[in-house]
Amino acid sequence: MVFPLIGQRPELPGGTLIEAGIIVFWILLVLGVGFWSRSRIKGSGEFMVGGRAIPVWMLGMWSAGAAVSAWAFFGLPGGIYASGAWQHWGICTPMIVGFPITVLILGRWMRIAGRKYNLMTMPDFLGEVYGGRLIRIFAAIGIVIACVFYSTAQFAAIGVLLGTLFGLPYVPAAALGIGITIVYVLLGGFIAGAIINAFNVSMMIVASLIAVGIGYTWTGGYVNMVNTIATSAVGNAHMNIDAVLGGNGWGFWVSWALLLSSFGLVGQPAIVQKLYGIKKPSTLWLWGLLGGIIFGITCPAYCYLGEVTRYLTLVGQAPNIPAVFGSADYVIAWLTVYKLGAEQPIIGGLLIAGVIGAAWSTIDGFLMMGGAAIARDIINKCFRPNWTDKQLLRNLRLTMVVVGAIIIIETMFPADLITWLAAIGWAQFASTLAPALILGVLWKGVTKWGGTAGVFVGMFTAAFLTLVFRLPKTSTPLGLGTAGFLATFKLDAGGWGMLLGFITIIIVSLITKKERGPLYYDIHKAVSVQAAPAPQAAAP
Amino acid sequence: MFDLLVFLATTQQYATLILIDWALGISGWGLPAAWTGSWALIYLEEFVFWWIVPVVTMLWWRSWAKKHPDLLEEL
Repeated sequence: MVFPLIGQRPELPGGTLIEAGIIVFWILLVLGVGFWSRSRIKGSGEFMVGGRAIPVWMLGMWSAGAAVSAWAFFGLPGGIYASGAWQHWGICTPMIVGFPITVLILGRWMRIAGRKYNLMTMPDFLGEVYGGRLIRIFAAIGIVIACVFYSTAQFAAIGVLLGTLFGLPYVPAAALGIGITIVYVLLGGFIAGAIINAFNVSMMIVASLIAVGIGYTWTGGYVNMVNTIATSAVGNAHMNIDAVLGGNGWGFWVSWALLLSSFGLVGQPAIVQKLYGIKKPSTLWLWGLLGGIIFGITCPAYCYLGEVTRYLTLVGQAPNIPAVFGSADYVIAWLTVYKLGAEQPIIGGLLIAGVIGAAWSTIDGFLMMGGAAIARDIINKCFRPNWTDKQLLRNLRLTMVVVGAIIIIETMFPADLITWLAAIGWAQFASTLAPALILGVLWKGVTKWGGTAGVFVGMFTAAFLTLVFRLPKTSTPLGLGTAGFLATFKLDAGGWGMLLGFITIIIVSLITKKERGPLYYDIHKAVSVQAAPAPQAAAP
Repeated sequence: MFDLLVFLATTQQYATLILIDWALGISGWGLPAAWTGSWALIYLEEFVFWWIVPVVTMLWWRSWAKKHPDLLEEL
């Protein structure tokens, strides 16, 4: 095979027409479900949590898809191609246990308290456990910040992939991706999301099994692939985690595997808020099992394609992706559009549908969550409590459009490899929400001001360290910014945020008045109270 | 330390594929011998994370839920 000169992209193979046809069919299917679901939305309860009557298997699939996202199906293969599998080691595999951890710690209370306290968002839960407005506002601000980073990674993936497939410039291709998502989310809300993502995640599972099969065939087995990479000129640099991370491999592992990926999953609203919608509380175990297993099957499959493409480059069957396309983010685009488009376009189309499905399964949750953070958690709950349900529903849709617009604007200025945009978003969610959620359920010593201070410290620490110290350093791709940050701070930004969040809640709770929200007294029944406050909202 | 980190990155995520290799008669780990000292620990970790923890914990929770239906009623 002859590859083009550096910076000159090869011509699209003829099979891309078949791939494009598969994707157009997929888009029409998704929009059709959105229109169908529209008639089922009667109020904010249906729009935000599907009337709390969605089968658990649908939500388990949706949550797993939201966790995998385009980060694992698109960004992470690029990161692995560029600098080795160390991100997968620290970030990806530990997320598998995050699902059962969430059920064991938080799941039951989120579900069984949902109707009584009219819970729809994570700030709702925190507000009812700890009490007060400030904790809702801080949590909502952290959510909006994280939404922008994480969603940008998803749109960037769609922009790169659809742009390559349809020959479109990056921005219109990304706008096409967000446009489709906004339409079906605004029309069908939670119900449309649950149905569409049953399709999306089914496609992701099929695509993952195909990905592993073709990767294994192309490389002549796993041992041969690893041996080829390990003994090449780039082998040591590609496989030595500690060298890539400037001697701070274990700092990375503590930040991600021990804190952010596993226990931090508890604080991921796009994943965990789905628990509010489960029909029967006794089926929560199936959500944890499906989430862990589906994530365990799908995430590593596409990551494997990053290693496979690295192997293909070393043996001369693939170009140097960053040199030809300008970024390692094009690994999956090259593999699906150029290689499979020429050799096996139907399989290529299914793999592309898997990536887009992964992106949509996350984006829709973020649009709903970001809009809800502004309209419901801040404005409605704190400043305009007299809104009717019709007004709330209208304003939820309006703020979702606003959040979508913010994300589109940021998508036009991608700052980093897709994998790091998503990781920063994940870390921001985890450091803002996870400490307060975990301690609020497990420790009866928490107080209103302990929780409020912990959410603020977690949110502020992660955002400050990221925006001031980390992003300016990550103008160089291949993870060198991460290594520089770890060399200076020893833990990742979100690791510090989560750790300081826990410490702050404990210290402030020990020295402040024992004031809490009403849900606290349901959870910690053994605590003696003279007068537990009544729920703020009646059941719908 | 180096061999442990190399193995975490390379075998942890795809240990299942190494099993397929072995089933097809392709032996080895694909890595230089000096890098493979900690393989047993890492290989175990992969299967614990992927296949054991979600299954065992969630089946335990299911059994617990059946014994305590009162704790799973709406508040």
